[in-house]
Amino acid sequence: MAWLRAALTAALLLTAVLLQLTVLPLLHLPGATPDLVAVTVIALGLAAGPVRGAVAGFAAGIVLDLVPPADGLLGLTAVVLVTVGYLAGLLGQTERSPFSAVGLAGLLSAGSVLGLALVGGVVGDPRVAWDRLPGLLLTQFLYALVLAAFVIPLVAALWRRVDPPAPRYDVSPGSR
Amino acid sequence: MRDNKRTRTILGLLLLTSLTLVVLNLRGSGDGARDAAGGFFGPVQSAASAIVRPISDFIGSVSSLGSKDQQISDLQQQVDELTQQLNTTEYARNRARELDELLRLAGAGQYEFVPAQVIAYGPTQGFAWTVTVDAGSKDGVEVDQNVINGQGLVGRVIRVTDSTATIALLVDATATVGARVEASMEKGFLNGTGDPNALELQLLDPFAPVQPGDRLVSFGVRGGAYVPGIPLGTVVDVKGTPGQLTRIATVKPFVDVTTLDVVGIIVQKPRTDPRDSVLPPKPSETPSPSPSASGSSGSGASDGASPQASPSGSAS
Repeated sequence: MAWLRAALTAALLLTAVLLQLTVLPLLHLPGATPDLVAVTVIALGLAAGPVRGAVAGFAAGIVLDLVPPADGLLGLTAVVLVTVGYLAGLLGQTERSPFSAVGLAGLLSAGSVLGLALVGGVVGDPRVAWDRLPGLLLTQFLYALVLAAFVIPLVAALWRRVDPPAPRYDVSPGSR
Repeated sequence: MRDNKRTRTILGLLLLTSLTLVVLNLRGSGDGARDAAGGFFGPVQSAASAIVRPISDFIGSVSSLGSKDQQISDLQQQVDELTQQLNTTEYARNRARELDELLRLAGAGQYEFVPAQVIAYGPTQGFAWTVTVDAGSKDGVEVDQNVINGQGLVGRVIRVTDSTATIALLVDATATVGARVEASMEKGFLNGTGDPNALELQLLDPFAPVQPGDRLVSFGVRGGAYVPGIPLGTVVDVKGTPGQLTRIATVKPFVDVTTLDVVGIIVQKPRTDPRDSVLPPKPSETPSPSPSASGSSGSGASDGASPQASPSGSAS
């Protein structure tokens, strides 16, 4: 059922991109716009492992850089989201309580904003505003916590439907 | 569990691809892909925005029920044809008010424009201030055209597809407008800083007498990208003494870029420079707050954010 997994990933990412660009800015929240795409990539990484998280981050980053009103360099967001998805998958492989997963999502989302600023600084983007960065990091962390509380369980439940975990067999001797 | 080496290889491959794209894009290719994506995604964004906007406006109206009575009487004075429809929804009222202000400003400057609505906003943490509107090359929009709304200049078109256009706002760190101070004809360059409430004005004449409270209009160079006479903002602070090379003024733009909705894209420059005629009359300094407060809120439908009085006096 590989096509089902790919279709679910594509559907989740496209919905997240659409909501982030069209709906979330209408809330006029102070500071950063809540980064639903980063949280979705993190949720996919937590549910599906580091490789799938990295691929989802790549796809989401390319889509965000292509779709209007993007104007920066193509690929910058992809670099950051690939790393975020990979880290989410790596750190999520150990069994985690829901609270620590949400906290991890918040930290990684704030990290993605920092990553965007750093990568932008490296390629010489004149728009990076270092004085606004602390405010953006803090607000992004808070909004990501709220978003992750809904998105992580939802993505995990959907992913279990298309990629059920292998049943565990008890192979220890003397278990008859 | 996955093999660690394979994982690392895939990660490296993906990072390398992304960085290659960045380098390629730095050298200038890749715009074709963006145009194609814009052509595909633009209508989807339009549709999503059309679905979501009434809901968010409804939520906004529910949360501000207290001031609705005063606002209804203001709108009825301004928009005669809509006051006859007692069942007009809040959504249609807001749009009509914004279109009305846009028409007044464009009429005062004789700008021929295409109206459009913002359907997507660039995320704030991307540091780029860009929005997408639902007018494109089919409507006559071209790159480098100016975008205005009822308060003043919004930005410049940087990318166009069939049915959408991407606009760089004037507060973006890479945006520059030629500016002229009201009445004194002093010229300068107004640069965006990334801060939506503060732009930087660099004056060409270091001895220019500019004070806080002076208002700026756009200074259109012949053959240049900016149409003359569009209100830009108000000077709030001037740093440096006259004669210093580094004399910089901080300017608050007239447009509130965080609440953009209806905008107009100027497709035809006016035949003559409107100079200062598009600016509303200067607000008078009345010491008593109560008569002017009821006067300004009762006479026009201008929203509370704009500092100037109702523009009904200057429009034709």
